[in-house]
Amino acid sequence: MTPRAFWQQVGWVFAKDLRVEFRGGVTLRMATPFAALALLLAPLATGTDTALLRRIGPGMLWLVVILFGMTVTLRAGARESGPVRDLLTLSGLDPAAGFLGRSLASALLLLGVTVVLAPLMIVLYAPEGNPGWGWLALLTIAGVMALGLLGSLVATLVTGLRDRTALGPLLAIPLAVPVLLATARGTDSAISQRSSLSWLLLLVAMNLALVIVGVLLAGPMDETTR
Amino acid sequence: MAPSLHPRSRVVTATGVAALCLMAVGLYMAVTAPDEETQGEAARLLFVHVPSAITAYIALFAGLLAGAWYLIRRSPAADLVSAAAIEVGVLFTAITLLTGMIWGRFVWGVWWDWGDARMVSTAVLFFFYLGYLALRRSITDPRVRAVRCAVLGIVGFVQVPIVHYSVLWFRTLHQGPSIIRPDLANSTMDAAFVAPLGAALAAFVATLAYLVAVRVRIARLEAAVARSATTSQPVGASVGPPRLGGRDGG
Amino acid sequence: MADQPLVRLVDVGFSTSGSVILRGVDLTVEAGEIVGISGPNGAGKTTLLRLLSTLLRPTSGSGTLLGVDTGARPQDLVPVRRQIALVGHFPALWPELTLRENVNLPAGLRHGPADGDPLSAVGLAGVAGLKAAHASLGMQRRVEFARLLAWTPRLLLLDEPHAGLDESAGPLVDHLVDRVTEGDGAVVMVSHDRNRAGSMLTRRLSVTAGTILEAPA
Repeated sequence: MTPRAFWQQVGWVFAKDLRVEFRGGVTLRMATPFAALALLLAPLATGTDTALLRRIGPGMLWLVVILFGMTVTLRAGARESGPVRDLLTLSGLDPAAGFLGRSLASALLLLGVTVVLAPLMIVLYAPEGNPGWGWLALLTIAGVMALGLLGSLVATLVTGLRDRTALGPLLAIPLAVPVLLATARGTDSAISQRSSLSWLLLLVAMNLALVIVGVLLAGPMDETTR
Repeated sequence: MAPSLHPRSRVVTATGVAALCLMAVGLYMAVTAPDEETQGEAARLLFVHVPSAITAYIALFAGLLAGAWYLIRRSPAADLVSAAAIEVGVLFTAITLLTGMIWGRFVWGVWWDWGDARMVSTAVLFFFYLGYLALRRSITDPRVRAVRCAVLGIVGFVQVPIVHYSVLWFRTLHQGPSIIRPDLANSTMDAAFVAPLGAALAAFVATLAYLVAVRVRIARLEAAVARSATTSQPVGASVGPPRLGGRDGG
Repeated sequence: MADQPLVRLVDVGFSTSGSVILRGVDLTVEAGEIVGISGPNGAGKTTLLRLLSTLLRPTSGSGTLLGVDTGARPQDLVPVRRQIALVGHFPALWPELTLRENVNLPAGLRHGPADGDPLSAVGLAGVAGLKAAHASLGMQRRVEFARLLAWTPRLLLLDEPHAGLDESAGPLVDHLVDRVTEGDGAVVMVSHDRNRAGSMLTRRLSVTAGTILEAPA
């Protein structure tokens, strides 16, 4: 397959996933409100000490995005029925293109979730400081991309299994620990006007590793989903 | 029955006996080693903690290699070895975490030290491999199971250093607990400690080899039982016409 | 190449999760043939179709599909796969999308949009905006047939194509089968419905207990 045809397939899967997601609307109608609710509940559990909330706000936002966002990406990747997967395979879809397209679509959805939840977090937790917006943007993009890749990789691993809704998060969340640390601590650094470069590089390394592993192993994994 | 149902290998038995002997030697040396100056008796826990950590890493790495080998060669034996090594590796990881916590309680005064990057990342690793074992149990088709578990093993392995460094940086950004923190690496380890550590490590590695061999044997027996339970007769041969008792008016 | 049969399976078997589904299957299908497969429930008919579609690989035996070895690497199977159409037991539709989107979307992966309006050709133009989740089995079947109007596979595999279709839609199946056989292709069809499928078949086979038998004419 030519590189052009490959990227066309990536784009096709990306557009298809977003279209199906917007029609189904699970991200917007369920996952995002659920995550927002978690942001509202956390201070009730920790106590509403203003200084404490100020400190934990950015971290809570990322924790919530990872936990609830993972349900979005796992669902997006594992949603297609067996016959539809057959149709895609017989249409000549390259499994690696499918992997990348799904990951990009998931990342965009997670970006949406983060952008919706961030103002809510600022209202509820009132973090202080004058953040470096450039760092925040880069950290967010690299973070949601890593989560999207991780989510679609794990979604393929649990495709067709009866216990996939419980199993998926158990497999994905431990591997998402670097995303949590890098985004949450990186946000802390950005708020206190320090460089978040090392955290950003960590996320870039993680993205690279996931892309390489995912693309190389997409074929063998795809063969097990029939 | 098939000879595979009685696989009494002398090598496996010998490994088991060796593990037992080495364990006894290691235990004796650990108990008779002189007291460590700052840690006292608690230091003896390290004769369990350190070898089990090293053994766990060896086992998980072996599991990864066997899994990758499966992906290249598609040999069912490689999958069994991979599964066995990781299962035993999880056991040693649990021992590592437990002994680490007990040691920390005696020496640092806390069960859990967030400042210890290795402790945190080992815990994350432990949960990841619990997921691996759960994935194995959820898949019934041996080929599908082997491929997916091998892939997960590789993904996990690629992520392990990233997890570790993220936790390490996390730790450097945070103030450690304000308790005395004896640093093993800097304290001069004299021969009185090296010898029992070496003996214990040998005992643990022999135990690992024995447990993996036994686990592979069990997996083989399970597969043989599964094979003998299902006839070689195609499924369709067992589907008959409906029998509606008393209604067919014979 | 041209003389090679489209399908050649030699002593092929398939087993999964410890159960044997097919064994000792020998099957050759030449261009122009319309092969009908019948047999009792659980005999392995659907599995046979999936083997023919390359979606499953034989676990024993050997064979070629459109001239390529059944054990070939996935990337070598891609050109073969793009010439095979499988209309399976359960329709391959995205329930969230409309019937029109369900026709147009997969077309984008395979080729450009079809000439004309495939949905009106299958009698669904009036409900093109209906979500697939709300369409009946027969309507979903028609959507799958509408997709096949835009290209002609060399190997068409049909699993109970008449299931859920009303009388008026029956000729659709005949039309698709004719297109494939006229285009140097072949059709393999699983059907319990002898009346509707019977007349067009060139050969009848029966799958019983995992093995193929030539059925009495």
